Amino acid sequence: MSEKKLSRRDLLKVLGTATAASVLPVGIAKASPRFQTDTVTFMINSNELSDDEINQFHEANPDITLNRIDYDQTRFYAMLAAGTAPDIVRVQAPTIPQYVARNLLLDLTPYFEASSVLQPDDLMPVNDYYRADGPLAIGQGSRYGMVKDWSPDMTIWVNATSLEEAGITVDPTQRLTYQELADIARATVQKQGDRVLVHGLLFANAGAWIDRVWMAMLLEKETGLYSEDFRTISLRDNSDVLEVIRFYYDLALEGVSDSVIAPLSAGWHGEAFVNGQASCLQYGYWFTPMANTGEAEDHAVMLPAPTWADSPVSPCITATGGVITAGTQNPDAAWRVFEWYFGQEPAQNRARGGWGVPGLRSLLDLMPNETDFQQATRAVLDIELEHNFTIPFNPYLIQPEPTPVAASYMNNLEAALTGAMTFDELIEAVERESQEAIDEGIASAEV
Amino acid sequence: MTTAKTTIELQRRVYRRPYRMEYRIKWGRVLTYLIVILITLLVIIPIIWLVITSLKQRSEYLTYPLRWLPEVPQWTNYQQALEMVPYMRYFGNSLFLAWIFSMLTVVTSSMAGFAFARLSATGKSRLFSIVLALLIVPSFVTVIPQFVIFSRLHLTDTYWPWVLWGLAGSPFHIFLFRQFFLSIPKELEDAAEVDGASIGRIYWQIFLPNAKPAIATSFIINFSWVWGDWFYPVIYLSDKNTLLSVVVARGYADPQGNVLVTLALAASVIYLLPLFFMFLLGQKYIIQGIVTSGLKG
Amino acid sequence: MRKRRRAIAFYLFISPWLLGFVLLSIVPLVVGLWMSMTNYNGLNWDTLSFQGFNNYAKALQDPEVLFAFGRTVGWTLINVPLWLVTSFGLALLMNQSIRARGVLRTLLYLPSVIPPVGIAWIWKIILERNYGLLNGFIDLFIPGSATYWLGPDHALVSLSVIACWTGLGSGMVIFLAGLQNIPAELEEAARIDGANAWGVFRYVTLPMMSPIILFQVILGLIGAFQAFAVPVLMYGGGGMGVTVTRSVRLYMIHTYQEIFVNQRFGHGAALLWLLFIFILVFTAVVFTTSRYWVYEEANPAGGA
Repeated sequence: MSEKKLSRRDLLKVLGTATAASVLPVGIAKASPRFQTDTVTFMINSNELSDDEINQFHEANPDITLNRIDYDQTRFYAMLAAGTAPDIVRVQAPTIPQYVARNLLLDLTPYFEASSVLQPDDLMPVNDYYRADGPLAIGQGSRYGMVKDWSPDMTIWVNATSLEEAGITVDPTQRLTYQELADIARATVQKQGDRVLVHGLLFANAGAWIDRVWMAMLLEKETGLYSEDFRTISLRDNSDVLEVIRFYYDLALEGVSDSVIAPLSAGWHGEAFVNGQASCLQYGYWFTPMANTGEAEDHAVMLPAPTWADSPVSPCITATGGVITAGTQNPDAAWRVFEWYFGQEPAQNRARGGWGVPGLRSLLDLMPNETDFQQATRAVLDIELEHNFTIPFNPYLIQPEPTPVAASYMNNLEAALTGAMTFDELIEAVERESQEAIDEGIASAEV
Repeated sequence: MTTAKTTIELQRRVYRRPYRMEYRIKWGRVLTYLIVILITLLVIIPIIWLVITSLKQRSEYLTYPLRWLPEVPQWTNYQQALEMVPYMRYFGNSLFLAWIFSMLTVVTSSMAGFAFARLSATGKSRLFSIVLALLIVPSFVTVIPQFVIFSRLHLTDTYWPWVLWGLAGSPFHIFLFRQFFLSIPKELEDAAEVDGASIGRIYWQIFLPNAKPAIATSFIINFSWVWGDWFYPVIYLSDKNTLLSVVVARGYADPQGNVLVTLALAASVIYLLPLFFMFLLGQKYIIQGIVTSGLKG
Repeated sequence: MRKRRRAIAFYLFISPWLLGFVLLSIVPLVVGLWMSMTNYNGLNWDTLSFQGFNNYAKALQDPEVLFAFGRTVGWTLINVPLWLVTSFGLALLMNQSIRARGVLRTLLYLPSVIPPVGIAWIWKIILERNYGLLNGFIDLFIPGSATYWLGPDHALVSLSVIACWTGLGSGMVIFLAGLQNIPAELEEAARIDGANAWGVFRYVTLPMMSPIILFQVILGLIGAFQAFAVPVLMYGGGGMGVTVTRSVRLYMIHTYQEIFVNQRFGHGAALLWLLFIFILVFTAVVFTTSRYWVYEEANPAGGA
């Protein structure tokens, strides 16, 4: 009986310690390894900011503690609601308008002007995505952030062997039209019954940025998905829009590009291309390190972005970068981290790795340029860089990935491709659901 | 003539029936055995396939046509699975959290179960009907508001939600303990009362020690829930302190984003082992517990 | 005096649960109801606007919601009977005196022990189009078929099979216990009265098992309406069900996508309340109609 008594007390002790220990994770999340430092929380993924780089920063800046947390949309919003938003957060350009509309970002213009590392003249034009004069005037005015690394996203990677087998050659200095691209895709697709062995053209059809692709193409015709004030989306009444959407839709319908009726064998587009299962792939320069591997080795060629209306444009539609939130407690310390990440060693590392074009002109030279492949790709890239411009994004759409427009399209696309919905019904559904999202966005942005 | 015929028929019926029934039963038995064994095999094959595939090389999995067995069992897959991500850290996280949650739930549920079984007060039956009703109420209605509340209280990214859930107990386990405690003979309790024991003492030194099966059942069920849950860690936790389930689900991808299937499978097998182990040890209790609540529910 | 002590002790002992119930169930329930009447979208906590029942009205007219609900009803109508029939059938089989029943029962119960993450991995490598076991097996007979088991045509069947496989063991165990508690005299009496196997089943087994069947039906229904984890994980659990094929776009998948991807918390809360109300009503209906087919006096447990 007495032994049992002891075991009861031990149980209590264990319970007590265990519960006390469970407080630890709370403490650890907020603890700083050094005394009296400013803590800057940076919300970005581990493959974009390595522990080595963080240690490097700590050595050079002993008075600042850099705390990295994983990027997650929902968590970011939850932190905003709780008032504990990270100081710096990784964002993509399309989200800037809505954050500006809600006054969530810190105006960094004075910091930029005073900085020796991030000088406004040195900034590539793509950084205009992070400039705003109010949510409806993106591209000019105050600076709220900067690009991390980017690419002209509409460039085309082709597997030259695949094209040769169909008797096609391409000239990397010539800009194709989308129609020509579609013809190539149709000529190089390989099927076995209903199964597609080699897709003709892979692009972000069922992906998170299909609406951005449309906007890029529409810009050539100087039109867009939305009305001028972004309060209405109109798809059905705009024949240009219908043409653009129809273009990609037909390719999916024919099984030339991947969709639910002609799925990939690989896990994602990049893997498919590398496995030789796709002849054309619409990815940006950032794909370079991977493009020349696997089955595509020595056969991968990057082509300039196709043109929809014969005007050479090569936009970037993502422009991943960072901003500093307005509620930051340590703006100066946050700026120090910001400067370091976007202009110093981490930026240099990224430039050298060839996973994207840096945001600063002065870092362009660090990009890989040795092998024939790299030089050929750089040549095309240089052409593209001259034709870059910004796309206006809708400030009323909460732009997670996928955007409401893209999500609606993705959800309904399956029904349309399998015949449960006509193309017109698909467009109507996307327009209706997107308009609903815009209306909700308008209602929540204005009190 | 008629009588003889009837007698003969009767005799035939009497003598033939047992023989025929025996014969039928034998065939029926064989058939039953076959069906059951076939079904069991079909049920087990997916699990066996998991283990087999976890021992293949990546190229042996990604081939067409299907490769049945690996050429050489790749035990290194397991080693790589443990090294590619900080597996043991997440294993420890899950272990720690599951332990705490289970202990807390067992304590609070057994306390409430004891109260419902042996103590009385006004409102007891009404409260108990609430417990019963809650058994059927699905939890999803509170998931989102809880998330929002916990976010505002800065409790996301911590283990506090689980601690609080543990402290709150669970209707199912309260029911389990109550049923169990009802079956403990009143004489034990009466004797202790005569000796002047307080109610707390009675609970602590009489009921709990005699409730080992219920404690085992409750503990295992709770532990398995935390260990296996994927949804709550996904929405509440992040990178450093997330649980093993999340890591096994999506942690095994190479830098390009290609999923390393064979490694993820190896990680899954290790992940499942504690659950199987606990189940095998405690299956008597678990099944008893489920049956008890099922039959009386 | 003693009564009062016991009463105080009662409330003391249930206080953790009671407190937890109020704080973690009642409060969130009310908050959820309130939230469902606002337009909370993650960013506008300070500028919420009260919407009344707008969200509910919108949801009931939203084709996407109705579609997901329809899918879920279909899913339930397929899965619950399937699970009931297979686990009951298995229990009947196992009820014969079979050697090694313990081992078989353990093996059959194993899938129920596996959590959703494990189930997803196990079945991904079986149903995978090019590299999966199932197609590899079929290939031996019909080469080159490569059915897309997780595609729009077959996803519902595939996921239903998976759900059945998972629930088989736990269902069987409960039914088996119920069967074993049927007094043997009843069966013998029926046989003496001239009933054959089918008659025994219809007039003794089923009625005696009807309370358990009712219990399992309700559990099954509630579970099926909430189905979420395995379908989401089968299609890549990263995006909260964004890539799930349409034929299995279940209600909870749609709801959690609205909340965690589109950040429409207010709308999502309304969706959850709608489902909750539906389940309550549905369960109540099942309960009230149960008096027509559940044999009330049957208590296989024989007491308490």
